[in-house]
Amino acid sequence: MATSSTHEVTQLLLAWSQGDEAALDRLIPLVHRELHHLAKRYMRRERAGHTLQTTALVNEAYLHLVDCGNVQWRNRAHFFAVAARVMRQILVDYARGRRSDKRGGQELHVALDEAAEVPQARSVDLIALDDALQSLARIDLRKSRVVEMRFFAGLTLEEIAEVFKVSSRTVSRDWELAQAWLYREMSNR
Amino acid sequence: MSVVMTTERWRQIERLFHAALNCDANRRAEFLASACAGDDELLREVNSLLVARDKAKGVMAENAFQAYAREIAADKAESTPSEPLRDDSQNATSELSTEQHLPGSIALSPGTMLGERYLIERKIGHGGVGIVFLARDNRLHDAPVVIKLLAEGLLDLENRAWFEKKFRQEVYALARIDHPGVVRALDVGELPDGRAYLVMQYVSGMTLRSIIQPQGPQGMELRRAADLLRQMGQALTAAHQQGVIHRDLKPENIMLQIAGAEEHVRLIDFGIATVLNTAEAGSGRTTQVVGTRDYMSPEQLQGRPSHASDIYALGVIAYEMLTGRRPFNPETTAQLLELQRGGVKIMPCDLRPSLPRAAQAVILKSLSFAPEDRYASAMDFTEDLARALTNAPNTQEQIIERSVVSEIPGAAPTISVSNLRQDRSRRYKMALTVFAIAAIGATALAWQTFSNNEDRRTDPPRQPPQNQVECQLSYSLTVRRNPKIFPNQRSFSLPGEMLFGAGDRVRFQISVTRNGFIYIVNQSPELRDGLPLYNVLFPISINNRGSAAVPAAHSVQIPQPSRNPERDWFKLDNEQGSETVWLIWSDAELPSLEAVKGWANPKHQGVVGDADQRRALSQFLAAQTPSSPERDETEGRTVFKTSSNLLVGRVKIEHR
Repeated sequence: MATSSTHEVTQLLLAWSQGDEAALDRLIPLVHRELHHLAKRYMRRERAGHTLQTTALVNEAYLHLVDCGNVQWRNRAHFFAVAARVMRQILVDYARGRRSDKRGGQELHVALDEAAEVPQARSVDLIALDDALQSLARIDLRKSRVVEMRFFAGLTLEEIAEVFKVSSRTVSRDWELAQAWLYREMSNR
Repeated sequence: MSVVMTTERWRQIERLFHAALNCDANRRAEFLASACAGDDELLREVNSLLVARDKAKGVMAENAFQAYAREIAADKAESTPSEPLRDDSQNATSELSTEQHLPGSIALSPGTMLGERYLIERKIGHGGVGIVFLARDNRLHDAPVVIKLLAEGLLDLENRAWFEKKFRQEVYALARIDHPGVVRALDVGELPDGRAYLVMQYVSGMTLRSIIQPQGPQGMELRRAADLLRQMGQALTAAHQQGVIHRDLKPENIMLQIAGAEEHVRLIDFGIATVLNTAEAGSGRTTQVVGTRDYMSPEQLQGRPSHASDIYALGVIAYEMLTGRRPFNPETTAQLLELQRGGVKIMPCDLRPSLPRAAQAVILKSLSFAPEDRYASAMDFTEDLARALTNAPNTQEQIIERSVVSEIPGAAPTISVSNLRQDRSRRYKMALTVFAIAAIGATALAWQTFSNNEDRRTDPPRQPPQNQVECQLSYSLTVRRNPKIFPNQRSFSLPGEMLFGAGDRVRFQISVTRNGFIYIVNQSPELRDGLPLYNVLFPISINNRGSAAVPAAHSVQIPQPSRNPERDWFKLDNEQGSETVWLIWSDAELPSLEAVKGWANPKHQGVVGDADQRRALSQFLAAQTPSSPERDETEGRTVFKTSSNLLVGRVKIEHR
């Protein structure tokens, strides 16, 4: 039931924001289900020529899942942090599935990757990025999370700053260095 | 232990990275050298991050979902093409529109929707104050449109309101011009941040620049030049009558579209030029003039442009079309002004003795230093010029020129190391398995079966071959063997056959001897739903501006040359089998192939996904296979000949 799940997510979110790490494990599958459902729906909209905004998608999930009357702004940021992680899972899984489909015989014989404007459209190899993010997390966890939130969930610097309780300038510096580091890591693979 | 070390080291790297960024670019190296104090590894680390930072710019500008959703959508479109579109999220659309999430100024990026109608595809131009995007109009079957707007930076300028007002005035003036030679303004809208944007027709075709022979021994054929100039003059006059001055007229802004035996001129990049120049002047940088100076009149260089300035620019263009060079070639603006004041010293007839004297006089008049000494209207100028060019008593020259034009055998191949090729082919006894068949088609029966849900146009019935001018389509294949296996081997050109291996790279250089339309489609050996997979190789939106129109003796390279030579190849993968590359030339646009070429955009990666289109394509190509046009190999190129108005050449690429 929608209301009970709204209540559940809200409670878990509050618990997690108060330091209950176990709440996160129960939160993720709930968020995953909702985001996955929404993502599929958004893709249909993409086919219809509608615009796609991750922030819109995550916002919509938030409105569906969270009892907004009972949650403060800060918890909204927490929700977004969870959503970012989930979006990363969904998209990287998708990229993996897509790649194995291609190995299964869908790849063109002449790999015409140089032909069309593919490099522009597929700007980042998500699987490589996921690996690089894991390496970055070992050196600097916050920076990897900043990238997760910004790139996978489309959060603003201010929203991310709210999650970590640092200034948005710090987030901006994190983002800057993380991008450079990840780029170098991915091109050295 | 080591983790602690790493963390400290990391903080050090982080500090230096940001400090170096804050440092003036000229002093950065010096700063880092002293800050690292001999710690070379630290220096290397920070430097490599700084380099990566510049390269990484924009890589993650679009967020993951946007980028991937497009591919996902493309997959979905292929796997379930007939599934009726169900948009159960319609109700949420308005509250979740882009505007809500982009406060203040808006950075448009691929995937952004404007006015619930135009989907931004990519940026195609960028100046100091203006930005130009290619977009799709979802109310008109995703037709391509061009969207122009003032750059975000202008938001900060105090006189922004004034710019906006000017911009709008210009847009409305432009919308009033109703002339086939002027790009059409389609719509005006406003971004949530208040900036106006202009939606223009997207003009495909080739630019006038692409047919001007740079420093060539002789300019364009006189009749053709006369025809094109006359059209330019008419279009420009139509604009002037609405009070719109182009101000940036140059061969790059003049598009040519081929329709049968005719060429149509269309002037683009109108209107916004005025605002841009004004904005530039208003920003205090009065010495800087926007755009290229080469076509600017003396008064425009001094900041007082008028419609006479466009006539001057047209004079420069006429000079260049007919002689292959411009009247003045200065290094600085000051020098240009001085040369203009001194008048034309190198006469068009000096460069091209056969040019009618009367035509020279007309051009010189258009290049008068004082605006009032030029023609009263652009049309007066070009009508005079066209008459002088075509009424020339010296018709002998025209005949000679015509025959020269039609005999041009095509551009030379880029790389030709034919000795190497022969040596290698003997030594390695390469199986000669690339062969080429081509088909002459008076047939277009297969085309009739072409049907597309969205686009029901059919190709016009083809005329049976009459006493037509022969057309030759020639190609050369440049090959680079897998550099891991043949590290020292240079690329070579190949007219004939070779068995390719994984990692080998190829590219094509193609040209024709008659104006017309070229479509190149790759057919892969594998089947999907019982039909071959096709991949559109030409035209694609970055190659020839997405137009199939290719003039005689113009060389087309696929893949499109890029800044990175490593990318200018098709790379063969591990799959064995034979690919077919179809080279299709027609003297008229083939609507059905025009429909297919839409698949050459990034989201489809060139793969034609629509089953009906693939079926029709397969039937058409099968129908062409039995009849072969004449085929020849000369000077490293393979030449197909036809006297029909359709030629379908086939190149097979075998790879093991």
